[in-house]
Amino acid sequence: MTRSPPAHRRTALLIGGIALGMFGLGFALAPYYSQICAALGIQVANAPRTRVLGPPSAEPVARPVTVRFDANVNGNLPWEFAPVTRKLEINTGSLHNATFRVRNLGDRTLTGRAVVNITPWQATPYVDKTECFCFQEQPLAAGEEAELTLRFAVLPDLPSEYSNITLSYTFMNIDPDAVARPHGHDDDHSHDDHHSHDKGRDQAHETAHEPAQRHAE
Amino acid sequence: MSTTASALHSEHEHHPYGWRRWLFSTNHKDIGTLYLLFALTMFFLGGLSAMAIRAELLYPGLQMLDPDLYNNILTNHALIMIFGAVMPAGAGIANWMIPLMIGAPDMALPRLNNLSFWILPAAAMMLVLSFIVPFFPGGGTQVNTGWTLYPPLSVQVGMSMDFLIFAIHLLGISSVLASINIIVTILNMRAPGMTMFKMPIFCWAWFVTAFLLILVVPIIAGGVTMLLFDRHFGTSFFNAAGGGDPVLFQHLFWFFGHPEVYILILPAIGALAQVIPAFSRKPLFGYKSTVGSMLVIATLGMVVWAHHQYTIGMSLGTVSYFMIGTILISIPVGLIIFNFIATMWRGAMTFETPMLFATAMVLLFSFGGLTGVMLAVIPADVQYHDSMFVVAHFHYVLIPGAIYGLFAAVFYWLPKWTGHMYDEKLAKIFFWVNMISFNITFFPQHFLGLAGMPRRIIDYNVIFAEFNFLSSVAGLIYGFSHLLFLYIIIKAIRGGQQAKNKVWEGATGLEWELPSPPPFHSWETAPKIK
Repeated sequence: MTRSPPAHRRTALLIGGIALGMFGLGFALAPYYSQICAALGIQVANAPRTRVLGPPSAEPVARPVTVRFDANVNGNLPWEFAPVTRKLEINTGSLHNATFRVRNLGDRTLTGRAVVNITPWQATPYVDKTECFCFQEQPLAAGEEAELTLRFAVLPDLPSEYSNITLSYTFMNIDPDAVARPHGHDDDHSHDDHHSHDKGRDQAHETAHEPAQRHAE
Repeated sequence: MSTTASALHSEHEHHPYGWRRWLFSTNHKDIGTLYLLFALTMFFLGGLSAMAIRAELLYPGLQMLDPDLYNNILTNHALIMIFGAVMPAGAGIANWMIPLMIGAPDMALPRLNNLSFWILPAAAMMLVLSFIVPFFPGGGTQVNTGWTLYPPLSVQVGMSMDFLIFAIHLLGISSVLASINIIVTILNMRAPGMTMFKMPIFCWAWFVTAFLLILVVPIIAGGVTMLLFDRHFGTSFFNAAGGGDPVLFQHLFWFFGHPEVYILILPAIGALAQVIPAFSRKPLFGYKSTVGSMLVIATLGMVVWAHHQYTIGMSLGTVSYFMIGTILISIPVGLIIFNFIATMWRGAMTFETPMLFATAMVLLFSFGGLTGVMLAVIPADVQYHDSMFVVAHFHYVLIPGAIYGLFAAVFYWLPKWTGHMYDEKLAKIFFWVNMISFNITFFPQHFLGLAGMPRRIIDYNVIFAEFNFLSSVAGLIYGFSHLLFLYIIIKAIRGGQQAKNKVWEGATGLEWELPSPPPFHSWETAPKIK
């Protein structure tokens, strides 16, 4: 089995050649890298999250969906809040209105802010709200009552497995003193909202609210 | 042909002395010794930086380091341990043992062997310089990237990164040359009758490791070369603004980085396949399945690299492939572990120090493998990613997996190398102190990671204080226990009970037919293999 030095040289050159080839392969990967990724679909993972939500367009085929409305009040706000429109059978791609009614049961002026939670959460990017009371703060004097409107469309490219959508709104007290106060189980409403509600979140409300939540968790 | 032979013969006649013996050495035993001494030196350097890290993490808040220096030391620890300590230690044992085990007079390419060692001190100097140049005027910022050297941060680091890049080039050249030598030796220099499947597993392990090195080290050399070009020559391999992609570096790095862990572990597994049968007084259970498993590990290990990058945004199909591939590797690894256990089963086992380390490796490496499977699972990994859990995982793999295997090998063959028995009592004390303090150091880090402590961070939330304190105290004990290891080795080199040819009564293999220590030139006439 022991072989002569020329045989060693031949084997050594062969293996050295493999090493040099691998060095070259490293550089060859640079130009081919993006093609490989494109061919294997490696960089498409972010695609759903980066989609741009434009105005509802009518081009994909509209299909019927059921939208239900739900209303809640966080425990720190003595308000009454209920959906007037409870359920809508609509077609995707067209605008619809839903109404809610809210009343201040307390004895002083309070300012609330509504946040939305959409179920199933996968449908969240497909609910396009063009006008919503949740975009603004809502002051109510003692005993005052108000009618709130929501104008929205469900985008036609909503994945076909979702045909029932629930929009659940919760009114929160935005007064930092009200939220900093430790409170019990009512916190549970607000947890999910962090994942789903989208536009124009009140920063002061959030920063004031978060420490209280951490403790609760 | 005859002139070459006689020239070689006359060269063998004179026995060089003094520094010439070492600097111009073409003798596999001397070069092996140089490799081992080099690895031991770097092991203590890397250990020193580990001690600095653990001392800093003793309490929350900043103690003695600032964040950049901390990350510099962290990078230093990883690179010195991997490239300076574990790889050269494996190469040193390979140099010493492979020719003895296959009945060859020397390595196939002795001069190349000399070159591949003597590149190392130069590379080590570059490596150490890369950590200290920032402290000199005009030295730029510190290497604060961690051993992964990800751009864009690594493009912005000062000139110390250039030292590091060239150090990696030199280390890579050294590894590739040593691997070429090992492959040629194993293919061409086996004694007559020593077929590939009669070869000791240690030689097989190094054969597979050498091929892995040949295939992946050039890739990282290419990757850091691109980094160098991006830094100085205006290219945009990794610069998104110029059409490049920093994620490309991650792919190149982990294409090398993942097989690298098998490069560190396979020689240790090979050593274990010698040690466990010797102290169980039974032949190895499942020789061929062990060899086959190593080949499967090497092959699968080359194609699962992106499990280090689950969070970069790959499609579901791609991450699923990497997840399944990674989990598949646990099958051949598990097979090897079961072969070791089956070898021990009903064997006449005794627990001398090499066997203690071997047993600890089988047990603790399995723990590390188990957390590895946890990390391979995508949804879990997204949570564990870059946490102390990962730190605990890879230290459980690398310390028992690589270093305990090397310790087992060192204690197993130290009497053969030095001709003296080491102090068994001290060695056992070293094992117990080392093994217990290792566990107390790294086991709590699992909990820290699961509770949310990130890795590579100098400061931490006070809720992590207790476990970090425990980890640091045990870590310092663990670190300083290696001084005992140093003392045992020095004591064995300087003297002690004369070792017999066959140091361990259960040991088998050609190396035990030679005297201890073996003569300067061994197997000049090839042994007969039955």
